[in-house]
Amino acid sequence: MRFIKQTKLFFREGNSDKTYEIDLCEVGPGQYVVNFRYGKRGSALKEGSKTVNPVDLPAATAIYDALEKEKRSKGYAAEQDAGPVAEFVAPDTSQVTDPVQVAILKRLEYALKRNSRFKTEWKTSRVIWKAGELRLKEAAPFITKLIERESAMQRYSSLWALGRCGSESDTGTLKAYAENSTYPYYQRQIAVHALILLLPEAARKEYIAQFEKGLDPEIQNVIKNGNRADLLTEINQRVKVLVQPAYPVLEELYVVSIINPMVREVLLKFITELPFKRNYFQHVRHLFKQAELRDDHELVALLGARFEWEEDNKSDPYARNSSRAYTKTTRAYLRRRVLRRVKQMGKRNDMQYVRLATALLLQYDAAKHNKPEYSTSTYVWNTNSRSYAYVTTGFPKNAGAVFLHYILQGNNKALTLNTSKTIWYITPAPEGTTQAPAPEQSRKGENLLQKVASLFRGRKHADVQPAVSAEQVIKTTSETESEVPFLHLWRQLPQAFIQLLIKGSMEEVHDFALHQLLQHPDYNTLRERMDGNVIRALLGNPFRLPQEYGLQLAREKFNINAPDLSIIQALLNGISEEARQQGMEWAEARPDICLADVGFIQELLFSKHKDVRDFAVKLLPKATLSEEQTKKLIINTIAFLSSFPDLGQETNDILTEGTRILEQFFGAALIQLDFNLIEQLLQAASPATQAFAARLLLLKKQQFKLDHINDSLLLRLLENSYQPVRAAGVDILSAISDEELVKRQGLLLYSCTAPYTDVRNAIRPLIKRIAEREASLAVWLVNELVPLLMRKETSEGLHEDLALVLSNELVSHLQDIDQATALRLLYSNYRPAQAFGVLVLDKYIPAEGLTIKQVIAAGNHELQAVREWCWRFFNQHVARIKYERDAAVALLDATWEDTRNFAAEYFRTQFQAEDWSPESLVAIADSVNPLVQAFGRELLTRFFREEDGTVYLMKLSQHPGVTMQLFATNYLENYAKDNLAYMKDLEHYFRSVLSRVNKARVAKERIFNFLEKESVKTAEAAEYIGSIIADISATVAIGDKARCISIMRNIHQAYPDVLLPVRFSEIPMKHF
Amino acid sequence: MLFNYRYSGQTEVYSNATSAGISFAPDTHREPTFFNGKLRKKLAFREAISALHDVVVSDLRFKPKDKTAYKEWAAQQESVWLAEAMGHYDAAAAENQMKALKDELNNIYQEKEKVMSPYYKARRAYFDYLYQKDRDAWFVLDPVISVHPDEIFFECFSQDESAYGKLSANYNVFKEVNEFQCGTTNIDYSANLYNEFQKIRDYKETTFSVDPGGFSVQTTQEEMFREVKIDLPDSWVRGFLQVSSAMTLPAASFDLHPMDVYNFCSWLRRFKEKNGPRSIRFLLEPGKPVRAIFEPWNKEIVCARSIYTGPQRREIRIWGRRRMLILERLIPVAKKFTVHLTGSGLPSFYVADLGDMQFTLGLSGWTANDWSRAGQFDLMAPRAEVSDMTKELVYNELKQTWMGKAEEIAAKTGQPLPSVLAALGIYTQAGKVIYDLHTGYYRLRELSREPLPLDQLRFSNPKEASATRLVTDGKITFSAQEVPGVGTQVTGEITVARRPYHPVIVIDGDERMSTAHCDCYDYQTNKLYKGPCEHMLALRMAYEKQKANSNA
Repeated sequence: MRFIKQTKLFFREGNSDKTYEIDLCEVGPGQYVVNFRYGKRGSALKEGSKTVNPVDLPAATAIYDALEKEKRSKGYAAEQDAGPVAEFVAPDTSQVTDPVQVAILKRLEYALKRNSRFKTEWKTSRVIWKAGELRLKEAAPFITKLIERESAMQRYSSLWALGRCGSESDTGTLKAYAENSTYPYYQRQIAVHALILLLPEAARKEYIAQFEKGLDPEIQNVIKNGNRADLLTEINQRVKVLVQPAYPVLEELYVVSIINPMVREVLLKFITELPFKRNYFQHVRHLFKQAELRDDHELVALLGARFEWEEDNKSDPYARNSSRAYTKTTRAYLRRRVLRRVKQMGKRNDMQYVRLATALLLQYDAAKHNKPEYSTSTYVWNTNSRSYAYVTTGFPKNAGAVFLHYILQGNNKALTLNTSKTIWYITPAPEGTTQAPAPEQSRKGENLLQKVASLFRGRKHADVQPAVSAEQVIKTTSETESEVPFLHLWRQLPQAFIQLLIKGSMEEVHDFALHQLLQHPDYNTLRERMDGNVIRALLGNPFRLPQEYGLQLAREKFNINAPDLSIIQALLNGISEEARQQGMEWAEARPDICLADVGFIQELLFSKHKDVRDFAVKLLPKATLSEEQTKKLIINTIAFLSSFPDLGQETNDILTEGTRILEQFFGAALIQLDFNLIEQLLQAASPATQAFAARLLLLKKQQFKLDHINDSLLLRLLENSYQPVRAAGVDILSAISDEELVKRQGLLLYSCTAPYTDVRNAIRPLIKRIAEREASLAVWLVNELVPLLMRKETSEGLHEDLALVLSNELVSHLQDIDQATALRLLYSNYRPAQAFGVLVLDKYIPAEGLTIKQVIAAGNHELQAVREWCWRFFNQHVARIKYERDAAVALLDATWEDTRNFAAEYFRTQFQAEDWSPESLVAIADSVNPLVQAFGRELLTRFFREEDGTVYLMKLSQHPGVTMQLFATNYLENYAKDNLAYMKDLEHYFRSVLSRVNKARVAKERIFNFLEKESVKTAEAAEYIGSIIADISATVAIGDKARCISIMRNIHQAYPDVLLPVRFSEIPMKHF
Repeated sequence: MLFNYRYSGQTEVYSNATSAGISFAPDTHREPTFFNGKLRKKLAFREAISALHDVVVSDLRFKPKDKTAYKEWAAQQESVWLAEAMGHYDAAAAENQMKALKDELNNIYQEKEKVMSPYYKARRAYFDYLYQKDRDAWFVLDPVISVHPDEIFFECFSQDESAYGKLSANYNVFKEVNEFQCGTTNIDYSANLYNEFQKIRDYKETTFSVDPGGFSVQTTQEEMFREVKIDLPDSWVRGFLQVSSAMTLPAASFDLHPMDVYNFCSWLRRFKEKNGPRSIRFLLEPGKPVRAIFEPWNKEIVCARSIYTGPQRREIRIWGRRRMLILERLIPVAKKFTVHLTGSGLPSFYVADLGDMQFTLGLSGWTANDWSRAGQFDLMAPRAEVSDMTKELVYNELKQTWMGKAEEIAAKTGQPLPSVLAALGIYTQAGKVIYDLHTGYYRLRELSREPLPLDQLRFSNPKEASATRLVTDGKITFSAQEVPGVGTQVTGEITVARRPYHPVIVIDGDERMSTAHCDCYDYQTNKLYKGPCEHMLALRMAYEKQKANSNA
């Protein structure tokens, strides 16, 4: 049996003095028991066990925690919690003189004694909270006793208050609460924070480190790696993507963030964007309370500003009866709460007021808070005059920004905050007077702005003392009258004004800060202390006032004779062009000092402003650096570059330009660089650095051969997503000697198929060089590249580039491509491959190898170049076409009009009468295309030879088209006459024409005529024709029917034996 | 329903001045089926396969005129007209203003034209290209080809889901038949094949093959196999199965002289009806010529050479008669046409006897299968219960012999004839067996590689299924009444879950449900926009059932 955990609790009150011990023991692997002992202290304890059978660790812990909670709720406390548990001794309260604090202590004392002598009801939990707010150290002993007295609320308040007014001796109690899983999560978290506040420095760090180990291992990993983006995505995954009822990870990270600024930064960023929705909002609440406990003004202000800015979550269907949603009332409450906290801090003369107010002011952003002033009008019933009065209410700019107006002009009589503390409106004039003139404060603000501006304009020369004007202002506006609440607190912390100027992002805030700063009694000493860093920060703020003030400050402080380099650097780094211009002016005036500083040069090189970098190019020739300094500069730059993270295209371009300037001026020194350093740079995160390293390698070319550079390094360069790196890679590749390159076939092949088009194109001259030198390698390349043309391209534009390199640089090495491959290229799915196929066909494939059918298929190709090749083929091989005319006429049936036109023209001009055979002519006429048919008929008529007539008739008659059938009737009379056998072969033709529905009238007539004539010639013919006509006679078309009957009558008259479906009767005649 | 095919190469028809060849590329996913031979009866085959092509591309559905261009123009013009109409108030000023605005508008139009014209041009070019390149994508299902010990047959179904074509050719059509493997497969089919078929001639030696190898390679392609995925609407498959299942129904049969078909076609070509009824009414009287009455003109065509030999007088109306024009090409080559009419508004079949070939044209009851016909017939209803053992026996028997008459199968398997017939009926509905109207054989033909989901196919929607249930429950009472000029009005009462519904439907002269209403929730919310409600369908089914009973 082995102890895992043990708690000894004691209780002492009145006559009672007892103890309660709880053990959590391991009895075997995975088997735990919870035992307890209790009894009078010092006597033999009674034993018991909560577990009949051993249970697993979580279950045992739960039992253990529950038991401890139960006992604590009965008033037991651990000895180590607050020293030896003795009879409660009231703390010494004689030092407390503040009546409020005295009253609080009194209340607590009575609460402990469970009797009240107060007329007014004040809940103990609230008293405790108040004690915490006031950090009333003397209250802590009472609070430790009162934790478990009443409700959960009281426990929560006590834990909260202990964190603020407790001492190190209370850590045990807090720890017990923090670790006991039976208490609600929010109470435990509050206990954790309270505990952290009370622990001494080292213990706190250890505790938080321990706490961090309880986090999810993956999050721990990300935190350990220290990558902000990774952590943010990880939290996003865990919180935004994953849907869960609760996200304790947020609160846990907040604990970790106490000692880890990176986590804090990420967490605050995340909380800024976390929607106030169900399941999130409970944590927002908790975090808010925890931040209040810790006096974490940044978080309080952040959330406060969000409460002020963001509408309540109306879309939550359960919002009405859930405390977990961001409802209208919740929002209103939280807004009031932040405001009240600010106010009370001020009233208590707490310096935290300035800090919280600053944090709140920094939350305002001109881009977001830009609601103009406006006014509303309404009719109000006036009971005195018994009439409606037309009342106009004016609202100032950003009227809803409650904190902003409160902090900047809370004492301004012209503004009033409405009762629900949500909006400021312009105080109406007292009754009887006319409507107050338009909001004075805004005009006043304007005046002030003008004043400040004129101040600057007037102070071009540093001789005007601001203190004078400041004093004057103070004289006119005495402190009591100031519209800024708690100005005296502000005055004690003038750094806040500078902070506001630097970080603020709203005109009003800057205005306030600058105004107050200039008026500050100690402005001159403050000014003295502002150095280059402050100026730099001021110039980094994109707003007008900080910029102007920063520039002004720089001009005041700068002495051209004893120049302060940091000021010039600050100016050069500024956002406004004017500031940079000034900086350059000064730098140009004193190049001796500026260029002597290596750091200055480095900053100049990698400035994010183009004009500054251009200036560097102008300035650097003046530099006369010693060898030592140059070396230092290069070493510094390399250190800077190799640790630079990859921040995207823009930054990379800046770095590239900087490094290029460096190369331009310090090339000689760069050549001396060690290979190891270059290697190190090549490993850097930023692609610009890698490109720089690659170029450094190139510089080395003058000294060494680059042949030993291995493939993997080159591949890395060529595959880089940043163009300059790839360009450098190509340059290195080109610098490698030809002998070496010939050995590295794979590398060449790869560079032809590299994923970026610029690499593929840049490599072409190299390929050309190599191909001229080493033909076998070129052939090998061709054989490798051609199949790639027919495969799906791995990167965009690959096919096109491959086709280019194949048809230009490698064009004289295509002899290995065989006919089948050429045809495959021609019919592949990709345009560049098809175009290349034409080239191959044209140059390398002998015409004899191709069948006419293949050539004709090319004439149907959708790429015009291929069709044109087909036409060329026809034109070049007339003799062969004539020989294979039967197959060649198929070109007339091409799907493309241009090919058809070409074919028609071709056969019309190239073929003479002797070149045609009846078969090929009929083959043309056999086409389904009416135009080709017509062409066929034209040729037939032109080249008709008498002796072929019967052949034509027989062949044409089988055409299914109406027009061709009609055309065939022309031959009928001449070639079918008197030839019964031949006529029998034409039976399908006769039947087919005669049974054309509603068509071919002329053809029908001709056939009827022909048959009529033939039918009476011989008995066999009569029988044959009779059978056809007999079938046709069943038609309903009256004309045809009559025709059939008349033919049948003729047959009947000539050959009465022929069986016909008609009965002939004599026309009855009247006999007289 | 998704069908996946993989063809090796493409179906090719090759012809030059002296020879021709037809090579069908079969689906290589299916069990190998091949056939090689040379055509003997080339012209007849040409005409027949052309008729089959007409079935494949046939689409007689009503296509409304495309008025988008006009509407666009009208929308532009409207503002101009409006301005003109308003302009009458203050002539001079309004005129000036209008002129200015018109000019401006014209400028804008011109500008728009300028800006958009490359786009329109490119779009046009693209669609033209698509039309050229992918004309085959306009077809639905590639035809099915089956090689059997005695014949080879093609089957296809039209795009408008209403016409079925089957061309069967026995081996007399071929000479030099090489080895063949019986089976069924889909063949690759494309539009320009039709053009090549037209080049078949008597004097050209014509090879015919169903062969994955195809001709010796002429133009090589990068991908040897073409994967084709066709997403067929369920209604299409249902239609196909319904028509082939209808072949097994008892029918009134008679022969028509080719010229009778010519006369029908001629009449249809010459006249176009503007309003209904668009039916042919066949009057069949034993021993008398068949008479066909073309409505609405009531033109009677007497088929003097075609005598009806059936036992009793019948009068059968069929709709969708323009589909008969498919038979036009067969008139000169056909010896006779055998017509099988299964009943008014039910599928009809026309078997053209081409000597050694038979062309069967099956037409569904109507060209359009819209809701107004819904609920009339259930050709996919199981007709009898059969045990699984019988089904398996019958199927195995067919697998061995490929074909057989019902009696023969019954004799061989030792099962009673009615259950064999029922089993065959079930297989026909499932697309596994086809009934050959010409010979009376049942033939094994697996329409698809995977079995078709029959439960999914039987009803076109759930309402039809529940209507069928209502009819079988038999809680329908109704009365029918002829309303002159409107049609037959059927009013009914259907009790469902102790709540009575009162559907009323009107059936017009074309057997269409022209108007209907009901007091159910479905009707009240959707009216007829989503088709008739289940009560209307049930009412119609009950009515049709009673009509059929009283006719019989």
